[in-house]
Amino acid sequence: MSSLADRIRGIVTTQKSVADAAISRIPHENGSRITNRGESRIPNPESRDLSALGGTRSGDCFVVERRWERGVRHGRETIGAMAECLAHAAPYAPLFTANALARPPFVFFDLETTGLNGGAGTHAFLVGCGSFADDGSFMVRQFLVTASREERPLLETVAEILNGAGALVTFNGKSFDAPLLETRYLFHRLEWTGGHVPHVDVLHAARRFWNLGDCSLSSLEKHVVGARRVADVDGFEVPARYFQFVRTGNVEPLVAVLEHNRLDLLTLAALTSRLFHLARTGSAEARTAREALALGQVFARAGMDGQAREAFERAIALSAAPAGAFDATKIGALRALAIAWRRVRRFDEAARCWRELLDIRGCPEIVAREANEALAIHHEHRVRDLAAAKTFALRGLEAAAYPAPTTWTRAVHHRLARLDRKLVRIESLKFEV
Amino acid sequence: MLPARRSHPENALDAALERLASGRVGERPDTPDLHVTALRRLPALAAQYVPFPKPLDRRLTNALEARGIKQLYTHQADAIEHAINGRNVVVITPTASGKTLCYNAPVLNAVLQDPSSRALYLFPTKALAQDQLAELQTMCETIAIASGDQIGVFTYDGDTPQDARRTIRARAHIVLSNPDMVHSGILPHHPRWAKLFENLRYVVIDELHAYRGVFGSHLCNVLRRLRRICRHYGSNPVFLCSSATIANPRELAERLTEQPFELVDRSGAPRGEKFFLFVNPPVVNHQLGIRRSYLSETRRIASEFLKRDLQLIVFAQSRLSTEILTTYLKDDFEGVPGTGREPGAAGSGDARIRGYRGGYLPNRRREIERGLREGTVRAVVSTNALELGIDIGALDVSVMAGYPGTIAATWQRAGRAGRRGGRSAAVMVASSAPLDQFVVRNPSYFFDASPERALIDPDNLHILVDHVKCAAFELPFTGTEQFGRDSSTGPRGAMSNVEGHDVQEILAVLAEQGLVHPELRRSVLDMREDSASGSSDREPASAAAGCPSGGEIEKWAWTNESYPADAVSLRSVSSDNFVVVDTTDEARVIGETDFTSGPATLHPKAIYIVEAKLYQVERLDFDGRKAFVREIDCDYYTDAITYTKVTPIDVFAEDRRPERAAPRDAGLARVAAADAVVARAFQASVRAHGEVHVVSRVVGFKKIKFYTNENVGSGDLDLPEQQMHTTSYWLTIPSTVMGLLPYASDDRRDGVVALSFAMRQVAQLLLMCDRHDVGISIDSMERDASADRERSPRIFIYDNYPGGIGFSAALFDMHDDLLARTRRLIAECDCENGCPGCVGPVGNTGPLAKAAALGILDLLIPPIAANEISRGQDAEIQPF
Repeated sequence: MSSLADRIRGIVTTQKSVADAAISRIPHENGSRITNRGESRIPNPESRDLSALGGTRSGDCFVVERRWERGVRHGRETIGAMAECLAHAAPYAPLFTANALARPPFVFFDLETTGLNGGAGTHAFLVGCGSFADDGSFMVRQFLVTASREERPLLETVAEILNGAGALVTFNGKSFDAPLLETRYLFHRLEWTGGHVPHVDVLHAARRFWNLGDCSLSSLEKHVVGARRVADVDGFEVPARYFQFVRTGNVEPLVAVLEHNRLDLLTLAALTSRLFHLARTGSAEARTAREALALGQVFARAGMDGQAREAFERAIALSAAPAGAFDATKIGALRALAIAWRRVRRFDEAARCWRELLDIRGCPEIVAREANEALAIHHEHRVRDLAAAKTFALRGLEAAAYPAPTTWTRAVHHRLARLDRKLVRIESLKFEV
Repeated sequence: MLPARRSHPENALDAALERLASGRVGERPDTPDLHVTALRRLPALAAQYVPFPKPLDRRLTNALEARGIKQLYTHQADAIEHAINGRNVVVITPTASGKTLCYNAPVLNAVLQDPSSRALYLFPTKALAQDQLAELQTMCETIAIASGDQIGVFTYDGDTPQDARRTIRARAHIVLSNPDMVHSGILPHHPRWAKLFENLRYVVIDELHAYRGVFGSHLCNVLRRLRRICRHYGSNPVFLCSSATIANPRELAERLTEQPFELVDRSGAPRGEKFFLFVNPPVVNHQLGIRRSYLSETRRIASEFLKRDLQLIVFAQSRLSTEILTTYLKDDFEGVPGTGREPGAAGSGDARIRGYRGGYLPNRRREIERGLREGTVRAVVSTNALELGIDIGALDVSVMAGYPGTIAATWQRAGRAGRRGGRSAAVMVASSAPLDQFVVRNPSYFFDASPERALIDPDNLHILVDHVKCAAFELPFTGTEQFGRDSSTGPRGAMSNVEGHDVQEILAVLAEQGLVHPELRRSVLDMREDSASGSSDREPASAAAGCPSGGEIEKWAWTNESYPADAVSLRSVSSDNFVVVDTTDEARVIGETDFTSGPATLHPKAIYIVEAKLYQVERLDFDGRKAFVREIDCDYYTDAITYTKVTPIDVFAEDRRPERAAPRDAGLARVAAADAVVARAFQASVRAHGEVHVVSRVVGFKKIKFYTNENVGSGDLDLPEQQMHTTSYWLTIPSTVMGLLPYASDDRRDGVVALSFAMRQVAQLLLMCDRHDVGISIDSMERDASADRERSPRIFIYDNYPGGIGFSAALFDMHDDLLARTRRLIAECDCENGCPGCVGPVGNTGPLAKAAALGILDLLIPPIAANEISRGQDAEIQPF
């Protein structure tokens, strides 16, 4: 061993001790541990036995194809039912892409990468693409980079798939998968067309529809889809498993990664079908107040006022909280409904909602302030009950336990002054009469 | 005498100079004993103009003309012509000679002629980039108004908001950034910058001289990475560099970029007449060699100029002295008539005299800069923050409180004063530090010698390995690729005698550690496929793979989750640091200290000073890298006692005689001439350099009273030791030489300590490095018990950076100079027994230390022998 190598080793190892500690936490399939050391021998990638992955080489790409027949269950639904839902609900897809022209075929899309840091050294080693076939089965094609020279042909193949898509469906793909893949295309001087395809990021919708704390795909899978996984790979292990494969040629650690990716795609498809289904059928199908509220918001943003109000009303109805008890979803729904009524100039209905809001114990001050203000306006200009208007305006001020914006306070004082003037005028009129 | 009848500022300047150096203004010989030790007159120079070079785009020349530039200075035209013809060029220019046009013109020209062209500017600081942004934008507006061509100029640094970054990537023709941002924000994300790298025509490196030592070594590697990325995208940018005066601008540029360079060093810009004064504050205590405080002296001199309404800049050495001098000057001008600040007229005077340093908010800085340009600010006291090219206009006088440390920096600061037409003056006031005293007493060292050489060592293994990792992350290395200074051009600078390392060997080690993975060539694979076919057991196949040779490896793929650039800081010795937490009220971070100096400055009970506020360290959390301090009111500061031991591991080169066969000395002649005993001793003295192991530990501290510097107490400490592998130069003083000294053994030892103190100062001078860049240590000088005689003591001057940064090899080469200058520093000092200006204050060394140190040097440097002899015996020198 040359002394230079020893010196380099000395420098590198001191820097690496921390990273190693992280890697050694990952258990291997057979109970042994994945390590980095002592694997300086270079495997022959072409003679590596990839058969455990069940894939084929097509051109320069290694592709793994899997199909779930329509009768297979994933959680509460069968694959066929999901396919049907999606097919019927396709016209509603633009509701989830800010009205971009999303249409079938929907391509479900998920990457497995060598890290989360981004930058030129972070690669997507696995690109999973899923879609429903005409016969109602779910097809997943996974493209695996077994040596870095295969990345370019892989990207070219994937580009064709993406170009053929009517919409991309991802989970957090807008901030992670798409930019990362774009970087890889730029790296290879290939055109990234993914930016032109309408993109449904289910994570964004999931946060509104099923706020489950961490809102991870796995908890959504458990609670919304109703499916359970056994022996799944933790996301943080994925890069180490891939590096293990690269260094040793042993394909075993990857088997679970590919399965993980496929199940993610399947769950993504299930969530999407649920979302689109709700959009098509409306709030009657909503299972929870939260779902109904989120759906109402989707409708409201798309200008579908009737459906939106219906959804808000359903959310209020689904709220389990007794009248006057605190329920954040109910508060949100009442407020949304009030605004929706006001928009169509149904002021009395709006006022009823605002009042109901004020009756809820622990209604957030910011909402209460808005309600009081709305009611003050309503009573001053429409009901013309100046005394009531003044009461609401004053209550709005009282509610300001924490500092309200000064412009707002000034507006309220302005209103109060005007109300007082009007009240005096009315008093004087009374005397004249 | 001075010519009569000049305009007001000139009269005022004459009067002030007359008062400082009475009756002698004009040329005169150096007089090291006097208060003003030197006064030089630099004559005025007329401008040399040439018309715009032909290839310059009309739209550009029109815009220049619209802004009053109708022709170019000769150096601008030279630089522009090289740049347009695709030759790398480095321009050395005095301050205010229009250097920015040297690179802005070719860049704007390229963008006008081909709007897809891109340029990347690197500045050592963000403030300089901002300054340049304003100038470029004005220029581009002029072009846009005249011709409608839109040229996008943007800064891209740590302050750029995330949401603006995409726009900048898409729209910037010219990106103004800094090496740190390129290192951690641009190169690792190069695919997002594909448009820039595909079309990168020019890379501009401003203030080239700032990139020396560790920072320069890092930049060289960043540029290696940059050029790799450019090759990937098919571009090959031309480098345009500008530098202040250093000895080796072309060499530095070629070392940093590993490209051949054209040098443009003849300025065609006009220059006004300038006077340069060296002032040595008078000695107030001869015995202790104590001089009047240089800050008081600076204050007095600055006042002379200020009360004559001359606009001036005062450079102080630290943030603290900046604040002190600002306060002094403000005090002085309260109530002085004619300077606008009558007693009680508060406020007006505040704006006329300003401080300026890092740590001021950008808005305040911009306001001061503007005040200086417009003349409303009459005096600014600054740290080196204003030394670099921030535009503050031209002032009348530059006063330096203390020698700036290098010839280059001194000229740079002096250049802050200088009007094109009129006269200006620069005054350097020496402090009592040895370096200052050497320079002020040897003015010709400064005026006649060439400035310092800037050294870098990009192949420092620590730095190199870090950047190889970053490069591997950015783009896989091929199995035959080299990193920097490869087969192609790569001028081998004389600065380093360490051969470049083989990057393939580094990659092999990185592969062992799992950071990269070698991918084999297809053809190799096919071959193996054949040999392995038919075998059901997979073991033989992988065994056959064994250790691949370079030819078999196609590329080294990055196989790690990390983002390596995050772990590498270009500026500090290591990215590890200590933070200082003030717990007086609620905990807040008030400062940070790099890892190596942490224990010495932040040990428990240490006094930590920030902006003249004193804090005491209550607890040092060594593992958590935190020091908890509390505000304190006391009249002393602390000085750590550090025990350092240096052990040589590997000797790169050594020789038995102090002289290498430089033409001017004839070592062997001296040997022949010297008496036989001395000759024996002298032949046994050794200079060497090599790899060493440095162990240092802070073992205690002294409490030192402010102003009087009395030692008022001490304490012991128990802190973990710090270890480092680095390179070192060392001098062995043969025991025979020690034996020849007519002093007691303790005094002889004091002599070695004294010698090391002076040598360190001189080494710093020769290396153009900061005080912190080198460390010093003396070998144990205990008696060798077995032989009962003194050992040969060794003085180590080591690179204070893991792996070394090239200083040791340079010192080895400059050994003669080092000893000769050290001797001069000590011999020419007026003090009796040592002072802070030569071998250290008397308290630190013994009463005979100075004499003993001189005695040692006299034995190591024999008297000059007149006759040359043949250099046939040079073979004895063992070159590396």
